[in-house]
Amino acid sequence: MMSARLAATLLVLVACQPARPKPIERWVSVRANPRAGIELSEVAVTPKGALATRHVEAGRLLLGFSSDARVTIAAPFACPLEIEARRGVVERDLVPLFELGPAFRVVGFAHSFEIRAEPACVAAQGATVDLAVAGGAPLAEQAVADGGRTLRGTTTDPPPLAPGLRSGVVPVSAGDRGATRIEARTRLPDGRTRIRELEVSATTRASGLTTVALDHRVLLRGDALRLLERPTGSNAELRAVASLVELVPDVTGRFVVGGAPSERFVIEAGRYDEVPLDCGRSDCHRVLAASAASSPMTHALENDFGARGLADPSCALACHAAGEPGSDDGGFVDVLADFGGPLPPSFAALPRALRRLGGVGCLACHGPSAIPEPGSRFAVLGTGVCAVCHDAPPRYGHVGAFGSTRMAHADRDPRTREGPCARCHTTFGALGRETHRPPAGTSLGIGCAACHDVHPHAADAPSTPARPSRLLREYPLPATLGVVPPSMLGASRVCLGCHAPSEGAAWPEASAAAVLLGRGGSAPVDGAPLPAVAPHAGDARGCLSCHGSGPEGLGRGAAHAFAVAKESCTSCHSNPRPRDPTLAARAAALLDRLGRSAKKSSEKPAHARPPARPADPALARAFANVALVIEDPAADVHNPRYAALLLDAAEAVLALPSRGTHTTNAP
Amino acid sequence: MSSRGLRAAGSAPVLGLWFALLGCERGASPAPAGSAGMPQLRYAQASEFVCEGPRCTQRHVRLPDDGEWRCAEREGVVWCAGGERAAGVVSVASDRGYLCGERRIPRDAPADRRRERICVDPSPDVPRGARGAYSCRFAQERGITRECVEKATSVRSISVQGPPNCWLDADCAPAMCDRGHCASGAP
Repeated sequence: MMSARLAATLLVLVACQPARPKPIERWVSVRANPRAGIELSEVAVTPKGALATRHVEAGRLLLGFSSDARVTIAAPFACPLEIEARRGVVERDLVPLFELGPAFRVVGFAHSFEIRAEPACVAAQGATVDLAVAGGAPLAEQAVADGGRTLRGTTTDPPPLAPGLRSGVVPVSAGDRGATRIEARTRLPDGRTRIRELEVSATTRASGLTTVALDHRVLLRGDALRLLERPTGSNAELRAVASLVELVPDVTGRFVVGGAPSERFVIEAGRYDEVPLDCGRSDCHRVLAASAASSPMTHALENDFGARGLADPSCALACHAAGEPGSDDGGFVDVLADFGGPLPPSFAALPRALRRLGGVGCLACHGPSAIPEPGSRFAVLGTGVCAVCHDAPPRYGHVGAFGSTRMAHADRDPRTREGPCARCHTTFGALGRETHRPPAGTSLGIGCAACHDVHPHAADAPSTPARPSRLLREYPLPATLGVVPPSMLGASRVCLGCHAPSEGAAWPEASAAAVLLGRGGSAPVDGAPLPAVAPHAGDARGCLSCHGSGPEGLGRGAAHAFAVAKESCTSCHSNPRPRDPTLAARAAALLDRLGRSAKKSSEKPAHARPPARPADPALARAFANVALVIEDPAADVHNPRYAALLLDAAEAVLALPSRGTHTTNAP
Repeated sequence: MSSRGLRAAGSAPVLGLWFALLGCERGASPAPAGSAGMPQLRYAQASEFVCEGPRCTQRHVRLPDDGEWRCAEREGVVWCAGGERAAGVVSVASDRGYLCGERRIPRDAPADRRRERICVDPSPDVPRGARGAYSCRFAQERGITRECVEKATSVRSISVQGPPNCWLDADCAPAMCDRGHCASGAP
């Protein structure tokens, strides 16, 4: 009896425990391409009672069934799926009602294309789709047919590209690739509509290097170009595109293009996923490879993933991973298709093949193939390398803004590419890389690489998401500046090398930094340094405290125009003084009085036609003081008091009876 | 077997019948993420084999880590040497099914071989999961891919215990290197 009571009690206790969830052993995993316009949250299952649980994770919808069932899985704008839910896991993809073809296409400049919306299932009957151009680069021609289901278009001729390049591979920035946005508006019989976006671009982005990716459209400039060699198995031909020619490597290997007698380009084509990344092996680039490990460029895609996965995959994958979406180039998007599935929620869950392509690594700038021939290596120092991503206005305006500066055109005069001028007028000169001198006739200006080093500089602070590294170079400080205040040792440090006189120069090549810091002037009589008056030297960001503005309407990078906005003065000066042209006029007059007036020239700045220094030591010092003011066109803003001090000192020595006349030893 | 896709995380003991008899069955509860019964999402570490007739190619293979490797395959075992960090790549540690060790270093080995790692995969991916039915090799001229041909192949497990340590016989001289492990008798 007791045992029966005990058993009954136990039975009641057990029976009244909360029911444990019945284990679910039948699962259907449903995926949908993020660009397909299908919301997994809108998926409905019939019969409703069959579904036990649902859970969305990392681009998949998991549907759990407690018993075997034949179910229909449907979502608006998607073809329904008929599935037998049995023990185990079934994986299926929801596809949209209309098949549109690839989301990204690269079709060529001056090239026609056609997009057709084809019904993908019976459920598409009754629904309509309208294709239309929605924005981006305009097309030369466009027409819609079949009630909106077909869009035919022709891309335009290329815009003016790399005008300074006389011959070679033409760089094409993100903003110049002629990307046109196409919308496909699907309307269901009940009136609901949804828009899917496609992109048709005229060409592939190009860095200007001869190391290119398979299936990328390579634009070349040169005289009478023709294809001299192509790899075995290639059927590639050159195609004329306005004043350029286009080569699309169809197999990996070496393509040789020749033209005018001295023109010969070796184009090496490869796939991103086939390149060994052993750059640091055997001490070849061990230091660079080690420094790249902590570069924010390397971690760009990893940081995009963050804790919650990629928020905007199409944007991130175009610039924070290797390759060109829409190309069969072995890049991230191409390889992702080989894996078939959606992106996982974390960078760490990516397979090896994708992690090696995820980030802005060596291949992003150096290309996925053999090292370029010596005559073509100059291109890696060109702005085109960075413009592949950093020239996509209005959101990314670094290159566009910089293009508005005189620095971007600093070597337009071929004489600036020679001798000591090259140090501050060219990138190869700034870096001391004579091996990367562009061919005659090619003008690249000062490029991004003159100031930025994507292999992180050892002295740069470690990069963190909160304070990303600026990847700035760290040139030696000019000796003429003496001890430089901390404000100039941040981002402004890169300016100093070229905006200060070099030591021993007979005439300062530039003097803005010296004038701003109140350095370089001396008392003509005894050579004692003039007292340093430098009210702007303490401005927190140095040069960039004022030179930090750019064109309206540009997003990131607009400050690379280094323009001065009025607000930069009014933040400290309630009533800023207007520019004072008298300082420059006074300096020119003093130079005249020293008998050293610079030769009048509209072609050359004063430092390119310097007058000879007087032989008399006192006059020579006065001459140097005046030169500092003349070489800083903004001396009246940078440091008007110091500029006046320099001129006062020069004037004082000229006023001495013994200095009323001067020796002349001008050349 | 490919590592791709979803796998059921195992089946919990079936207790529901007893409760059902007592009338306490309340139906299956929505399973929160990661709860028992929920299939774990696993992401492929290698791409699928693409087959044309008896020949199959795996374009993106499973390797010990994100670094640089060279691999060989014999009798159903893969062994790889190298492990140098890939330049400009975020290195992520994760279990790829390899057992790794340090390569034995001959005294006269060149400097760049002195810190090599050896990793062994005793259960490499094969087309259709048919172990022993395919003969596979690594092709390393253009990236690292695996090529398999449908052909009965002997599968022999490694008898030596411990972490792998050799790539070539010379690493184990005068003994031999058996697929990453110095055979017994090595000094």
